[in-house]
Amino acid sequence: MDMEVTELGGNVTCIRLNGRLDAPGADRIDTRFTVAAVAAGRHAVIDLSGVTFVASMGIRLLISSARGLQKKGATLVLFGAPEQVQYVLEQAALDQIMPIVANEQRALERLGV
Amino acid sequence: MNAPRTVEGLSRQDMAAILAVTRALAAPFDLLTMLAEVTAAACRVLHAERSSVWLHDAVSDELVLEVASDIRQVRVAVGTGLVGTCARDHQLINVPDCYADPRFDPSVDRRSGFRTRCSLTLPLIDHKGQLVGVMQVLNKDRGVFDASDEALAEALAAQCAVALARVRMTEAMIEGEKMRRELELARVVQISSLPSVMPSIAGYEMHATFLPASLTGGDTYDLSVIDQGLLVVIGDATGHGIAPALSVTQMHAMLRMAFRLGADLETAFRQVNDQLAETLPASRFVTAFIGLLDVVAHRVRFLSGGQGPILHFQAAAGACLAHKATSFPMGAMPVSTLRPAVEIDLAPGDMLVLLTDGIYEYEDPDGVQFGVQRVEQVLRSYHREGAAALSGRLLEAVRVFARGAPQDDDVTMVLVKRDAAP
Repeated sequence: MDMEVTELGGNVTCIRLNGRLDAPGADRIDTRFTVAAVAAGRHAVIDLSGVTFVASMGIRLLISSARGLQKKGATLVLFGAPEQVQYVLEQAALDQIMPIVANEQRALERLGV
Repeated sequence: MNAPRTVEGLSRQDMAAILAVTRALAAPFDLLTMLAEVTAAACRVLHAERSSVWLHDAVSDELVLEVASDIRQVRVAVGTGLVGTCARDHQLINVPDCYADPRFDPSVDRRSGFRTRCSLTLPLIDHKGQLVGVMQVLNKDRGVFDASDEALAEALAAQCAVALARVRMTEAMIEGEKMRRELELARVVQISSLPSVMPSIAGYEMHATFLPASLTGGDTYDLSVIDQGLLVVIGDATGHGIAPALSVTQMHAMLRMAFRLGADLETAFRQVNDQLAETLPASRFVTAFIGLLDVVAHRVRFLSGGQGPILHFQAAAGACLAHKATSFPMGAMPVSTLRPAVEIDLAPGDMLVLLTDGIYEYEDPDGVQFGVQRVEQVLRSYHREGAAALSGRLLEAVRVFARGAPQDDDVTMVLVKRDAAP
Protein backbone atom coordinates (compact mmCIF):
# COMPACT_ATOMS: atom_id res chain seq x y z
CA MET A 1 0.00 0.00 0.00
CA ASP A 2 1.44 3.34 -1.13
CA MET A 3 0.11 6.85 -0.79
CA GLU A 4 0.81 10.10 -2.56
CA VAL A 5 -0.25 13.48 -1.20
CA THR A 6 -0.99 16.51 -3.36
CA GLU A 7 -2.12 19.89 -2.11
CA LEU A 8 -4.89 21.14 -4.37
CA GLY A 9 -6.20 24.70 -4.42
CA GLY A 10 -9.25 25.69 -2.42
CA ASN A 11 -8.03 24.29 0.90
CA VAL A 12 -8.18 20.69 -0.32
CA THR A 13 -5.66 17.85 0.10
CA CYS A 14 -5.76 14.95 -2.36
CA ILE A 15 -4.45 11.57 -1.25
CA ARG A 16 -4.01 8.84 -3.85
CA LEU A 17 -3.88 5.30 -2.51
CA ASN A 18 -2.41 2.33 -4.35
CA GLY A 19 -2.53 -1.33 -3.38
CA ARG A 20 -4.41 -3.41 -0.84
CA LEU A 21 -6.14 -1.52 1.96
CA ASP A 22 -6.28 -4.52 4.27
CA ALA A 23 -4.84 -4.91 7.79
CA PRO A 24 -1.13 -4.83 6.74
CA GLY A 25 -1.85 -2.07 4.18
CA ALA A 26 -3.73 0.07 6.69
CA ASP A 27 -0.95 -0.50 9.24
CA ARG A 28 1.67 0.67 6.79
CA ILE A 29 0.04 4.02 6.02
CA ASP A 30 -1.90 4.57 9.26
CA THR A 31 0.00 7.48 10.80
CA ARG A 32 1.08 9.10 7.52
CA PHE A 33 -2.49 8.95 6.19
CA THR A 34 -4.00 10.38 9.36
CA VAL A 35 -1.46 13.21 9.44
CA ALA A 36 -1.95 14.03 5.76
CA ALA A 37 -5.74 13.80 5.82
CA VAL A 38 -6.64 15.15 9.22
CA ALA A 39 -3.87 17.14 10.89
CA ALA A 40 -4.21 20.36 8.89
CA GLY A 41 -8.01 20.34 9.08
CA ARG A 42 -8.27 20.93 5.30
CA HIS A 43 -10.88 19.10 3.20
CA ALA A 44 -9.55 15.76 1.89
CA VAL A 45 -10.38 13.89 -1.30
CA ILE A 46 -9.17 10.30 -1.39
CA ASP A 47 -8.47 8.66 -4.73
CA LEU A 48 -9.24 4.94 -4.45
CA SER A 49 -8.81 4.11 -8.14
CA GLY A 50 -5.53 2.30 -7.41
CA VAL A 51 -6.93 0.33 -4.48
CA THR A 52 -7.39 -3.29 -5.42
CA PHE A 53 -8.92 -4.49 -2.19
CA VAL A 54 -10.35 -3.11 1.05
CA ALA A 55 -10.96 -4.97 4.34
CA SER A 56 -12.32 -3.98 7.72
CA MET A 57 -9.09 -2.44 9.02
CA GLY A 58 -8.99 -0.22 5.92
CA ILE A 59 -12.54 0.87 6.55
CA ARG A 60 -11.57 1.67 10.10
CA LEU A 61 -8.82 4.00 8.88
CA LEU A 62 -11.22 5.81 6.53
CA ILE A 63 -13.88 6.21 9.23
CA SER A 64 -11.51 7.47 11.91
CA SER A 65 -10.06 10.03 9.48
CA ALA A 66 -13.52 11.17 8.37
CA ARG A 67 -14.57 11.57 11.99
CA GLY A 68 -11.39 13.47 12.81
CA LEU A 69 -12.00 15.87 9.93
CA GLN A 70 -15.66 16.34 10.82
CA LYS A 71 -14.60 17.51 14.26
CA LYS A 72 -12.47 20.17 12.55
CA GLY A 73 -15.36 21.25 10.34
CA ALA A 74 -13.89 19.72 7.18
CA THR A 75 -15.04 16.88 4.93
CA LEU A 76 -13.43 13.73 3.57
CA VAL A 77 -14.67 12.53 0.16
CA LEU A 78 -13.84 9.19 -1.46
CA PHE A 79 -13.71 8.83 -5.23
CA GLY A 80 -12.77 6.44 -8.01
CA ALA A 81 -13.36 3.19 -6.11
CA PRO A 82 -13.20 0.10 -8.35
CA GLU A 83 -16.36 -2.03 -8.34
CA GLN A 84 -15.17 -4.57 -5.77
CA VAL A 85 -13.98 -1.84 -3.39
CA GLN A 86 -17.20 0.12 -3.89
CA TYR A 87 -19.14 -3.06 -2.98
CA VAL A 88 -17.31 -3.43 0.34
CA LEU A 89 -17.76 0.26 1.21
CA GLU A 90 -21.49 0.00 0.47
CA GLN A 91 -21.85 -3.18 2.53
CA ALA A 92 -20.69 -1.19 5.55
CA ALA A 93 -22.91 1.79 4.63
CA LEU A 94 -19.89 4.08 4.59
CA ASP A 95 -21.74 6.43 2.23
CA GLN A 96 -23.72 7.59 5.27
CA ILE A 97 -20.57 8.91 6.92
CA MET A 98 -18.65 10.32 3.97
CA PRO A 99 -19.54 11.11 0.36
CA ILE A 100 -18.45 8.42 -2.12
CA VAL A 101 -18.43 9.75 -5.70
CA ALA A 102 -17.29 8.62 -9.14
CA ASN A 103 -14.30 10.87 -9.86
CA GLU A 104 -12.11 13.75 -8.71
CA GLN A 105 -14.24 16.39 -10.37
CA ARG A 106 -17.37 15.19 -8.56
CA ALA A 107 -15.40 15.09 -5.32
CA LEU A 108 -14.35 18.71 -5.69
CA GLU A 109 -17.90 19.71 -6.66
CA ARG A 110 -19.08 18.02 -3.51
CA LEU A 111 -16.79 20.28 -1.52
CA GLY A 112 -18.00 23.32 -3.45
CA VAL A 113 -14.53 24.16 -4.77
CA MET B 1 -35.12 -13.13 40.81
CA ASN B 2 -38.35 -11.42 39.84
CA ALA B 3 -39.20 -11.44 36.15
CA PRO B 4 -38.01 -8.23 34.49
CA ARG B 5 -40.74 -5.68 33.96
CA THR B 6 -40.96 -3.29 31.08
CA VAL B 7 -40.85 0.27 32.29
CA GLU B 8 -43.81 2.16 30.89
CA GLY B 9 -43.25 5.70 29.75
CA LEU B 10 -39.51 5.62 30.40
CA SER B 11 -38.06 8.93 29.27
CA ARG B 12 -35.20 9.11 26.77
CA GLN B 13 -33.05 10.71 29.48
CA ASP B 14 -33.75 7.87 31.91
CA MET B 15 -33.01 5.24 29.30
CA ALA B 16 -29.84 7.08 28.30
CA ALA B 17 -28.79 7.22 31.98
CA ILE B 18 -29.37 3.49 32.44
CA LEU B 19 -27.54 2.62 29.25
CA ALA B 20 -24.65 4.79 30.42
CA VAL B 21 -24.49 2.69 33.60
CA THR B 22 -24.75 -0.52 31.62
CA ARG B 23 -21.82 0.57 29.49
CA ALA B 24 -19.80 1.57 32.53
CA LEU B 25 -20.56 -1.69 34.31
CA ALA B 26 -19.53 -3.79 31.36
CA ALA B 27 -16.00 -2.41 31.57
CA PRO B 28 -14.36 -1.86 34.97
CA PHE B 29 -12.77 -4.72 36.82
CA ASP B 30 -12.08 -2.80 39.97
CA LEU B 31 -14.61 -3.31 42.74
CA LEU B 32 -14.64 0.18 44.22
CA THR B 33 -14.94 1.86 40.82
CA MET B 34 -17.80 -0.41 39.93
CA LEU B 35 -19.61 0.22 43.22
CA ALA B 36 -19.14 3.97 42.86
CA GLU B 37 -20.66 3.76 39.35
CA VAL B 38 -23.66 1.84 40.57
CA THR B 39 -24.43 4.02 43.56
CA ALA B 40 -24.03 7.26 41.62
CA ALA B 41 -26.24 5.88 38.85
CA ALA B 42 -28.91 4.69 41.26
CA CYS B 43 -29.18 8.17 42.79
CA ARG B 44 -29.32 9.78 39.35
CA VAL B 45 -31.85 7.43 37.77
CA LEU B 46 -34.12 7.05 40.79
CA HIS B 47 -33.83 10.68 41.89
CA ALA B 48 -32.71 9.55 45.32
CA GLU B 49 -30.56 11.31 47.91
CA ARG B 50 -28.30 8.40 48.72
CA SER B 51 -27.61 4.83 47.70
CA SER B 52 -25.39 2.02 48.87
CA VAL B 53 -24.33 -1.46 47.83
CA TRP B 54 -23.83 -4.06 50.55
CA LEU B 55 -21.71 -7.08 49.66
CA HIS B 56 -22.56 -10.50 50.95
CA ASP B 57 -19.74 -12.08 52.95
CA ALA B 58 -20.57 -15.77 52.57
CA VAL B 59 -18.12 -16.82 55.31
CA SER B 60 -19.68 -14.77 58.12
CA ASP B 61 -23.15 -14.57 56.45
CA GLU B 62 -23.05 -10.83 56.93
CA LEU B 63 -23.58 -7.89 54.61
CA VAL B 64 -20.68 -5.47 54.38
CA LEU B 65 -21.13 -1.85 53.34
CA GLU B 66 -18.15 -0.97 51.16
CA VAL B 67 -19.24 2.30 49.62
CA ALA B 68 -21.07 5.27 51.00
CA SER B 69 -19.91 8.82 50.83
CA ASP B 70 -19.27 9.27 54.56
CA ILE B 71 -19.34 5.86 56.23
CA ARG B 72 -17.29 2.72 55.64
CA GLN B 73 -17.21 -0.94 56.58
CA VAL B 74 -20.50 -1.39 58.39
CA ARG B 75 -21.54 -5.01 58.93
CA VAL B 76 -25.08 -6.35 59.29
CA ALA B 77 -26.08 -9.98 59.86
CA VAL B 78 -28.37 -11.60 57.30
CA GLY B 79 -31.92 -11.36 58.72
CA THR B 80 -31.27 -8.11 60.61
CA GLY B 81 -32.71 -4.74 59.58
CA LEU B 82 -34.10 -3.95 56.13
CA VAL B 83 -30.87 -4.90 54.34
CA GLY B 84 -30.52 -8.19 56.25
CA THR B 85 -34.20 -9.06 55.74
CA CYS B 86 -33.93 -8.36 52.03
CA ALA B 87 -30.84 -10.60 51.86
CA ARG B 88 -32.58 -13.40 53.75
CA ASP B 89 -35.84 -13.32 51.75
CA HIS B 90 -34.36 -12.43 48.33
CA GLN B 91 -37.24 -9.94 47.99
CA LEU B 92 -37.43 -6.25 47.15
CA ILE B 93 -38.61 -4.13 50.12
CA ASN B 94 -40.18 -0.73 49.48
CA VAL B 95 -40.69 1.22 52.74
CA PRO B 96 -42.42 4.61 52.42
CA ASP B 97 -41.75 5.59 56.08
CA CYS B 98 -38.67 3.93 57.57
CA TYR B 99 -39.07 5.12 61.16
CA ALA B 100 -42.55 3.52 61.21
CA ASP B 101 -41.13 0.13 60.10
CA PRO B 102 -39.94 -2.18 62.89
CA ARG B 103 -37.28 -3.74 60.62
CA PHE B 104 -35.50 -0.40 60.17
CA ASP B 105 -32.30 0.04 62.22
CA PRO B 106 -31.83 3.76 63.00
CA SER B 107 -28.30 3.30 64.44
CA VAL B 108 -26.58 3.97 61.08
CA ASP B 109 -28.51 7.26 60.87
CA ARG B 110 -27.39 8.16 64.37
CA ARG B 111 -23.73 7.58 63.46
CA SER B 112 -23.82 9.45 60.15
CA GLY B 113 -26.27 12.22 61.04
CA PHE B 114 -28.32 11.37 57.95
CA ARG B 115 -32.11 11.21 58.24
CA THR B 116 -33.63 8.27 56.33
CA ARG B 117 -37.18 8.93 55.22
CA CYS B 118 -38.10 6.23 52.70
CA SER B 119 -36.10 3.37 51.20
CA LEU B 120 -36.00 0.82 48.44
CA THR B 121 -33.94 -2.30 49.19
CA LEU B 122 -33.18 -4.94 46.55
CA PRO B 123 -31.33 -8.24 46.55
CA LEU B 124 -28.45 -8.65 44.08
CA ILE B 125 -28.70 -12.16 42.68
CA ASP B 126 -26.13 -13.47 40.22
CA HIS B 127 -26.82 -15.61 37.14
CA LYS B 128 -26.50 -18.77 39.26
CA GLY B 129 -29.23 -17.56 41.64
CA GLN B 130 -26.73 -16.83 44.45
CA LEU B 131 -27.05 -13.73 46.62
CA VAL B 132 -24.05 -11.47 46.01
CA GLY B 133 -25.27 -8.40 47.88
CA VAL B 134 -28.01 -5.87 48.53
CA MET B 135 -28.60 -2.49 46.94
CA GLN B 136 -30.37 0.19 48.95
CA VAL B 137 -31.64 3.56 47.76
CA LEU B 138 -32.78 6.22 50.23
CA ASN B 139 -35.06 9.27 50.17
CA LYS B 140 -36.76 9.86 46.85
CA ASP B 141 -36.86 13.55 45.93
CA ARG B 142 -40.29 14.93 46.78
CA GLY B 143 -42.08 11.70 47.65
CA VAL B 144 -41.72 7.95 47.98
CA PHE B 145 -40.58 5.24 45.58
CA ASP B 146 -43.34 3.88 43.34
CA ALA B 147 -43.79 0.80 41.14
CA SER B 148 -41.94 2.35 38.23
CA ASP B 149 -38.97 3.16 40.52
CA GLU B 150 -39.02 -0.48 41.61
CA ALA B 151 -38.78 -1.65 38.01
CA LEU B 152 -35.92 0.74 37.25
CA ALA B 153 -34.10 -0.28 40.42
CA GLU B 154 -34.53 -3.95 39.52
CA ALA B 155 -33.03 -3.33 36.12
CA LEU B 156 -30.04 -1.65 37.76
CA ALA B 157 -29.76 -4.35 40.41
CA ALA B 158 -29.65 -7.05 37.74
CA GLN B 159 -26.79 -5.25 36.01
CA CYS B 160 -25.02 -4.66 39.28
CA ALA B 161 -25.27 -8.33 40.27
CA VAL B 162 -23.77 -9.49 36.99
CA ALA B 163 -21.00 -6.90 37.26
CA LEU B 164 -20.28 -7.91 40.86
CA ALA B 165 -20.11 -11.59 39.97
CA ARG B 166 -17.78 -10.69 37.14
CA VAL B 167 -15.59 -8.53 39.37
CA ARG B 168 -15.23 -11.38 41.82
CA MET B 169 -14.50 -13.85 39.06
CA THR B 170 -11.85 -11.60 37.53
CA GLU B 171 -10.33 -10.73 40.91
CA ALA B 172 -9.79 -14.43 41.43
CA MET B 173 -7.87 -14.56 38.16
CA ILE B 174 -5.46 -11.70 38.79
CA GLU B 175 -2.07 -13.36 38.52
CA GLY B 176 0.72 -13.57 36.02
CA GLU B 177 2.05 -11.23 33.41
CA LYS B 178 0.01 -8.05 33.02
CA MET B 179 -0.71 -7.93 29.30
CA ARG B 180 -1.63 -11.58 29.06
CA ARG B 181 -3.79 -11.26 32.13
CA GLU B 182 -5.67 -8.24 30.84
CA LEU B 183 -6.28 -9.92 27.53
CA GLU B 184 -7.59 -12.98 29.28
CA LEU B 185 -9.85 -10.91 31.47
CA ALA B 186 -11.21 -9.04 28.48
CA ARG B 187 -11.88 -12.40 26.89
CA VAL B 188 -13.65 -13.66 29.99
CA VAL B 189 -15.87 -10.60 29.98
CA GLN B 190 -16.51 -10.94 26.27
CA ILE B 191 -17.31 -14.64 26.40
CA SER B 192 -19.35 -14.37 29.60
CA SER B 193 -21.88 -12.21 27.76
CA LEU B 194 -22.63 -14.87 25.13
CA PRO B 195 -25.79 -16.94 25.57
CA SER B 196 -25.02 -20.37 26.99
CA VAL B 197 -27.97 -22.18 25.38
CA MET B 198 -29.84 -21.73 22.12
CA PRO B 199 -33.49 -20.72 22.42
CA SER B 200 -35.91 -23.43 21.41
CA ILE B 201 -38.64 -22.25 19.04
CA ALA B 202 -41.02 -24.60 17.22
CA GLY B 203 -40.56 -24.42 13.47
CA TYR B 204 -37.03 -23.01 13.73
CA GLU B 205 -33.56 -24.27 14.25
CA MET B 206 -30.66 -22.05 15.14
CA HIS B 207 -26.99 -22.41 15.75
CA ALA B 208 -24.20 -20.08 16.78
CA THR B 209 -20.46 -20.63 16.54
CA PHE B 210 -17.84 -18.50 18.24
CA LEU B 211 -14.17 -19.28 17.71
CA PRO B 212 -12.02 -16.63 19.38
CA ALA B 213 -8.66 -15.84 17.85
CA SER B 214 -5.73 -16.21 20.23
CA LEU B 215 -5.00 -12.57 21.00
CA THR B 216 -7.25 -10.17 19.16
CA GLY B 217 -10.80 -9.74 18.01
CA GLY B 218 -14.00 -8.45 19.41
CA ASP B 219 -16.93 -10.52 18.18
CA THR B 220 -20.20 -11.13 19.94
CA TYR B 221 -23.58 -12.64 19.20
CA ASP B 222 -26.94 -13.03 20.85
CA LEU B 223 -29.91 -15.27 20.24
CA SER B 224 -32.57 -14.88 22.89
CA VAL B 225 -36.32 -14.73 23.26
CA ILE B 226 -37.41 -11.32 24.55
CA ASP B 227 -40.80 -9.57 24.70
CA GLN B 228 -40.17 -8.01 21.29
CA GLY B 229 -39.49 -11.38 19.55
CA LEU B 230 -36.39 -13.49 18.95
CA LEU B 231 -33.45 -11.14 19.30
CA VAL B 232 -30.69 -11.95 16.83
CA VAL B 233 -27.42 -10.06 17.14
CA ILE B 234 -23.98 -10.40 15.64
CA GLY B 235 -21.31 -7.81 16.29
CA ASP B 236 -17.63 -7.16 15.65
CA ALA B 237 -15.54 -4.42 17.26
CA THR B 238 -12.57 -3.23 15.22
CA GLY B 239 -9.01 -3.23 16.44
CA HIS B 240 -6.53 -5.35 18.32
CA GLY B 241 -6.04 -6.04 21.99
CA ILE B 242 -8.27 -5.59 24.99
CA ALA B 243 -10.33 -2.63 23.82
CA PRO B 244 -12.42 -4.36 21.12
CA ALA B 245 -13.38 -7.17 23.48
CA LEU B 246 -14.57 -4.58 25.96
CA SER B 247 -16.35 -2.34 23.41
CA VAL B 248 -18.30 -5.25 22.05
CA THR B 249 -19.24 -6.38 25.54
CA GLN B 250 -20.47 -2.89 26.34
CA MET B 251 -22.57 -2.85 23.18
CA HIS B 252 -24.02 -6.25 23.97
CA ALA B 253 -24.92 -5.23 27.53
CA MET B 254 -26.49 -1.94 26.45
CA LEU B 255 -28.61 -3.66 23.80
CA ARG B 256 -29.91 -6.25 26.25
CA MET B 257 -30.75 -3.48 28.69
CA ALA B 258 -32.48 -1.27 26.10
CA PHE B 259 -34.72 -4.14 25.01
CA ARG B 260 -35.38 -5.11 28.58
CA LEU B 261 -36.56 -1.57 29.22
CA GLY B 262 -39.11 -2.03 26.45
CA ALA B 263 -37.30 -0.24 23.63
CA ASP B 264 -38.30 -1.02 20.05
CA LEU B 265 -35.67 -1.88 17.44
CA GLU B 266 -35.15 1.69 16.26
CA THR B 267 -34.91 3.18 19.75
CA ALA B 268 -32.48 0.51 20.94
CA PHE B 269 -30.29 0.93 17.88
CA ARG B 270 -30.21 4.70 18.06
CA GLN B 271 -29.59 4.87 21.81
CA VAL B 272 -26.80 2.30 21.78
CA ASN B 273 -25.18 3.88 18.74
CA ASP B 274 -25.26 7.33 20.27
CA GLN B 275 -23.86 6.11 23.59
CA LEU B 276 -21.00 4.38 21.79
CA ALA B 277 -20.37 7.45 19.61
CA GLU B 278 -20.05 9.56 22.74
CA THR B 279 -17.61 7.25 24.48
CA LEU B 280 -15.53 5.34 21.94
CA PRO B 281 -12.35 6.92 20.59
CA ALA B 282 -12.38 7.98 16.91
CA SER B 283 -10.60 4.87 15.69
CA ARG B 284 -12.97 2.46 17.37
CA PHE B 285 -16.45 1.30 16.45
CA VAL B 286 -18.57 -1.82 16.36
CA THR B 287 -20.25 -3.32 13.34
CA ALA B 288 -23.50 -4.95 14.43
CA PHE B 289 -26.58 -6.60 13.00
CA ILE B 290 -29.58 -6.29 15.30
CA GLY B 291 -32.69 -8.15 14.25
CA LEU B 292 -36.00 -9.19 15.72
CA LEU B 293 -37.70 -12.29 14.34
CA ASP B 294 -41.47 -12.53 14.60
CA VAL B 295 -41.79 -16.33 14.71
CA VAL B 296 -45.51 -16.24 13.90
CA ALA B 297 -45.31 -13.97 10.86
CA HIS B 298 -41.88 -15.47 9.97
CA ARG B 299 -40.54 -11.99 9.42
CA VAL B 300 -37.18 -10.58 10.48
CA ARG B 301 -36.90 -6.81 10.93
CA PHE B 302 -33.34 -5.60 11.22
CA LEU B 303 -31.04 -2.65 11.40
CA SER B 304 -27.39 -3.14 10.73
CA GLY B 305 -24.61 -0.77 11.64
CA GLY B 306 -21.86 -1.56 9.16
CA GLN B 307 -22.38 -5.31 9.37
CA GLY B 308 -22.80 -6.84 5.95
CA PRO B 309 -23.44 -8.70 3.79
CA ILE B 310 -26.47 -10.13 5.56
CA LEU B 311 -27.39 -13.31 3.74
CA HIS B 312 -30.95 -14.52 3.28
CA PHE B 313 -30.80 -17.99 1.79
CA GLN B 314 -34.01 -18.57 -0.16
CA ALA B 315 -34.72 -22.29 -0.34
CA ALA B 316 -37.17 -22.02 -3.27
CA ALA B 317 -34.60 -20.23 -5.44
CA GLY B 318 -31.65 -22.16 -4.02
CA ALA B 319 -29.75 -18.86 -3.78
CA CYS B 320 -28.81 -16.08 -1.42
CA LEU B 321 -30.19 -12.58 -1.31
CA ALA B 322 -27.50 -10.33 0.19
CA HIS B 323 -28.50 -7.24 2.18
CA LYS B 324 -26.24 -4.33 2.98
CA ALA B 325 -25.90 -2.57 6.30
CA THR B 326 -28.66 -0.01 6.90
CA SER B 327 -26.26 2.45 8.48
CA PHE B 328 -22.60 3.07 9.26
CA PRO B 329 -20.78 1.09 11.97
CA MET B 330 -22.17 1.69 15.44
CA GLY B 331 -20.38 4.31 17.46
CA ALA B 332 -18.74 5.94 14.43
CA MET B 333 -20.94 9.01 14.96
CA PRO B 334 -24.41 9.87 16.29
CA VAL B 335 -27.32 8.85 14.07
CA SER B 336 -29.06 11.86 12.57
CA THR B 337 -31.57 10.17 10.27
CA LEU B 338 -32.16 6.50 10.82
CA ARG B 339 -32.90 4.58 7.63
CA PRO B 340 -35.94 2.32 7.91
CA ALA B 341 -35.49 -1.23 9.15
CA VAL B 342 -35.27 -3.92 6.48
CA GLU B 343 -37.82 -6.74 6.55
CA ILE B 344 -37.08 -10.27 5.41
CA ASP B 345 -39.83 -12.88 5.05
CA LEU B 346 -38.56 -16.35 5.82
CA ALA B 347 -40.30 -18.99 3.69
CA PRO B 348 -40.07 -22.68 4.68
CA GLY B 349 -36.45 -23.83 4.44
CA ASP B 350 -35.12 -20.24 4.32
CA MET B 351 -32.17 -19.17 6.42
CA LEU B 352 -30.75 -16.02 7.87
CA VAL B 353 -26.96 -16.35 7.75
CA LEU B 354 -24.83 -13.90 9.71
CA LEU B 355 -21.06 -14.17 9.61
CA THR B 356 -18.38 -11.82 10.88
CA ASP B 357 -15.46 -10.85 8.70
CA GLY B 358 -13.35 -13.49 10.46
CA ILE B 359 -14.98 -15.78 7.86
CA TYR B 360 -15.24 -13.46 4.85
CA GLU B 361 -11.68 -12.16 5.34
CA TYR B 362 -10.03 -15.45 6.31
CA GLU B 363 -6.91 -15.54 4.14
CA ASP B 364 -5.22 -18.51 2.54
CA PRO B 365 -1.39 -18.60 2.40
CA ASP B 366 -1.49 -16.57 -0.85
CA GLY B 367 -3.47 -13.73 0.74
CA VAL B 368 -6.73 -14.62 -1.04
CA GLN B 369 -9.80 -14.12 1.15
CA PHE B 370 -12.57 -16.67 1.64
CA GLY B 371 -15.19 -14.14 0.49
CA VAL B 372 -18.95 -14.16 0.06
CA GLN B 373 -19.15 -16.39 -2.99
CA ARG B 374 -17.54 -19.36 -1.28
CA VAL B 375 -20.02 -18.95 1.59
CA GLU B 376 -22.93 -18.94 -0.86
CA GLN B 377 -21.57 -22.03 -2.57
CA VAL B 378 -21.53 -23.98 0.72
CA LEU B 379 -25.08 -22.81 1.50
CA ARG B 380 -26.35 -23.86 -1.91
CA SER B 381 -24.76 -27.29 -1.64
CA TYR B 382 -25.82 -28.14 1.90
CA HIS B 383 -28.91 -26.02 2.68
CA ARG B 384 -31.05 -29.10 3.35
CA GLU B 385 -28.91 -29.98 6.35
CA GLY B 386 -29.61 -28.61 9.83
CA ALA B 387 -28.18 -25.32 11.07
CA ALA B 388 -25.52 -27.00 13.21
CA ALA B 389 -24.40 -29.32 10.42
CA LEU B 390 -24.33 -26.44 7.97
CA SER B 391 -22.17 -24.37 10.35
CA GLY B 392 -19.79 -27.31 10.45
CA ARG B 393 -19.75 -27.39 6.63
CA LEU B 394 -18.84 -23.69 6.50
CA LEU B 395 -16.00 -24.13 8.99
CA GLU B 396 -14.73 -27.15 7.13
CA ALA B 397 -14.77 -25.21 3.85
CA VAL B 398 -12.79 -22.40 5.48
CA ARG B 399 -10.31 -24.89 6.94
CA VAL B 400 -9.72 -26.57 3.59
CA PHE B 401 -9.43 -23.18 1.86
CA ALA B 402 -6.93 -21.88 4.45
CA ARG B 403 -4.45 -24.75 3.90
CA GLY B 404 -3.11 -24.31 7.42
CA ALA B 405 -3.01 -20.49 7.45
CA PRO B 406 -3.62 -19.35 11.04
CA GLN B 407 -6.83 -17.72 12.25
CA ASP B 408 -6.05 -14.09 13.10
CA ASP B 409 -9.54 -12.74 13.84
CA ASP B 410 -12.55 -13.98 15.80
CA VAL B 411 -14.83 -16.22 13.73
CA THR B 412 -18.52 -15.96 14.55
CA MET B 413 -21.50 -17.44 12.74
CA VAL B 414 -25.19 -17.26 13.53
CA LEU B 415 -27.62 -19.33 11.48
CA VAL B 416 -31.39 -19.14 11.93
CA LYS B 417 -33.24 -21.66 9.78
CA ARG B 418 -36.97 -21.99 9.30
CA ASP B 419 -37.97 -25.65 9.00
CA ALA B 420 -38.62 -26.82 5.46
CA ALA B 421 -42.20 -27.67 4.50
CA PRO B 422 -42.96 -31.31 5.43
